[in-house]
Amino acid sequence: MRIFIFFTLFLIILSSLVFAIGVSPPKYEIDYQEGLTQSFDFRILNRDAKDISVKMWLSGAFQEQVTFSEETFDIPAGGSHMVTATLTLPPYNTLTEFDRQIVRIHATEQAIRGGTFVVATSVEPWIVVQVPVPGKYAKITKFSVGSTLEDYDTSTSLTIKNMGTESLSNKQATVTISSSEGDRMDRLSFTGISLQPGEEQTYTQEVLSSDYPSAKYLALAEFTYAPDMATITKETSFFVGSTDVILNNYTDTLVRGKINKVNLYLQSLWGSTLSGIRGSVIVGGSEQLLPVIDFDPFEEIVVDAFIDVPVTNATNFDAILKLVIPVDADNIETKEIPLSFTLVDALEEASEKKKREGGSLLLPIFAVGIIIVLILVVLNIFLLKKRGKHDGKKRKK
Amino acid sequence: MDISNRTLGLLLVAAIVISIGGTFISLNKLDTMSPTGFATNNETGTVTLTVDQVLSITTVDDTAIDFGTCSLDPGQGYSEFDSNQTTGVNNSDCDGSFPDYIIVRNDGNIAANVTVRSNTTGADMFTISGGASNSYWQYKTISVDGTGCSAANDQDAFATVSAEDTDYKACDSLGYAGGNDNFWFYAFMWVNSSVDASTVAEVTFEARNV
Repeated sequence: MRIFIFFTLFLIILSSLVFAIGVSPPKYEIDYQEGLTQSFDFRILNRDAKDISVKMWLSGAFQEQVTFSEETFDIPAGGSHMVTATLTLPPYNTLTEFDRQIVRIHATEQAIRGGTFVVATSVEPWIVVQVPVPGKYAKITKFSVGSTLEDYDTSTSLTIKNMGTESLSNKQATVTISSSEGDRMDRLSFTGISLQPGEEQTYTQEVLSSDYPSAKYLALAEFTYAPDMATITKETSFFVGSTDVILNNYTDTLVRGKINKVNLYLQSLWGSTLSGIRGSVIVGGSEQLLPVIDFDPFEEIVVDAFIDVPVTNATNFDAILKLVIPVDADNIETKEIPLSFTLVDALEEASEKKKREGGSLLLPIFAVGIIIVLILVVLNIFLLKKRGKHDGKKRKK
Repeated sequence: MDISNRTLGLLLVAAIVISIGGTFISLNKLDTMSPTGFATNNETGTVTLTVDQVLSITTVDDTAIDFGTCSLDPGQGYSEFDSNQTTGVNNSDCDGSFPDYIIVRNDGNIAANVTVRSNTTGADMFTISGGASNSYWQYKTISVDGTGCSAANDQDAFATVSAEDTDYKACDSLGYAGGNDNFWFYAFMWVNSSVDASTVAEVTFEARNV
C-alpha cells in the first residue's frame, strides 16, 4: 500500500517577511591590560519594514568576562537599539590563549515560525583583544613605500610592535626593493631597534627612486627579533610614475527642482592602464556610486553623475567627489575632491545657456522694430483713410 | 488748442515705442538675475559627513524557498527535493515552482563573511517513530552577479549540514557595492520515506568581519 506523508511548506517563509539586521561599529580593537574593565557600544539596526526581536549572545574568547546591558530587546521597523557590552579582562597568568583574541558578539534576529524551515539573520561584531605573547614576540603592523613621480625620491615607513612580554634590544630590520621581474633595486637597513613590551615604533628611510624607471616595484620588509624565532616579513608594492586621477572640469550649474546630469571630466596621470577606480558623489549625507572607471594611459574620461536638486532658496551648495584608486592588489588610495555647484531656476538656466551660446539682443530688437513698423503702417493707412473722408466731405460742401 | 490727427498719431506711436521698449528693458534686466524679485537667501550648503561602518545583511530581495506540499515515495524508500534542480531531481512530488532560492544581500558598507547554520540536522529534523532518521539536508550558494561573492568565496557545490549550531561557509567575502552584493542560497533534501514526524529547523545567516 502506498503511504503518503505530506510535508507542508518546506523552507517556506511568507514572502512578505523580510530579514535584515545590521550593526555599527562592526569591530573594536584594544590591547590587553590586566584587570581592565571597558564598555563597548554597539548600535543594532533593524533595516526591515517590520518590528523585530533580537537576542544577544557570545562566543569566542573571553565570553565569560562579557556582560550585556540587555540580552533581548525589540527594535521597531527601521529603528535601532544601542547595546553595551562590558568586558573585564582576567589576570594574565590565567590565560592560555595569546596574540589576537576575538570576543564574538552575536545579535540574532528571532526567527518567525512559518514552515518546516525558518530563516533568520544575524550579525557578529567583534571585540579584538591583542594579548601579549609570553617571551619575545613582535609583528610588523604597518609597512609602506610611497608611490612617486618619475625622477623623484620616495620614502618607506615600517612600523613594528613588540607583542611579547620581553623587551627587544638592538635588533635590525631590512627592506628589499625589487622590480616586478625580480631584479633587486635597493636594500635598506634599520638598525638599533629596541622596543619595550607593548611598545610600537615607526621607522622611516628615504628611497632613492629617482633612479628608477616608471614601473611597479615590490618591497619586502624583514625583521628578526630573536635567534630562535622565524623572521617576520611583510610585503607591499609601489609605483614610480603617478597613479593619481584629477578632475579637469565638471558641470557646476544645476537647476532647482529637477534631476541634473553632471559631467565629470576625469583624467589619469598614470602612464599605464589604471583599472577598477570606484567613484562616488557625496551630497548632503547621501552617496551616489559612479560606474567603475578604467583608464588607458593618461586618458581623460567623462563620467556622468545624477544629482536630484529639490526646490530650494539656496543659491549654491557643496559636494564631494570621492575616488577610490587601487594602487596595487593590496592597497587603495582614497581621494576626495570638493565640488561646488551654483543653483539656478530653469529660466535662469535658459538665459545662461543663451549667453554661453553667444546669444545677443539682436533678435528682440529686430522683433520690436518689426512691431513698430507694422504699427506705423497701420496708423498711416488709418490716417490716409481719415484724410480721404475729410477731403470728400469738403468737396461735398 | 487744436491737435491734428497726424500729431495724435505720432504721439500714439511714441507711446507705443516707449511702452514696448520699457517692457523689453525690464524683461531683459530680470533675465540677467537682478536682485529685484529674487529671494535674498544666499546660503552656502556645507555638508559634514561622517560615514560609520555598518555590517549588515538582508534577505529582502527573495525571502523564501517554497517547495509547497510534498509527498514521500515509499516505493523508492526516499525522496529528494532540490530547489535548484541541478541533481536530476524534478521535485514532481512537490507542488512548488522551481528553481527557487533565497537571496542574501550585503546592505552594509563593508565586506562581510557570511555563514549559515541550523539548529538541527536533517537526521534530527525528520524522525522515524520518535527516533533519528538518516535523512539530511544540504545547501549551496552561488553569486549570480559575478563579483559580489567570487567563485573562490562561495559554496558552489551542495554541502551537508551535518552538525547543529555550527557555522558553515556561505560566502567568505561578500561585497557591498551596489549590484555586486549578493548570493543565492539553494537547498537540497534527502528524506527517508519512513519518516513520520518533522520538527522546525531554524536556518540563520550570520555576517561578520572579513
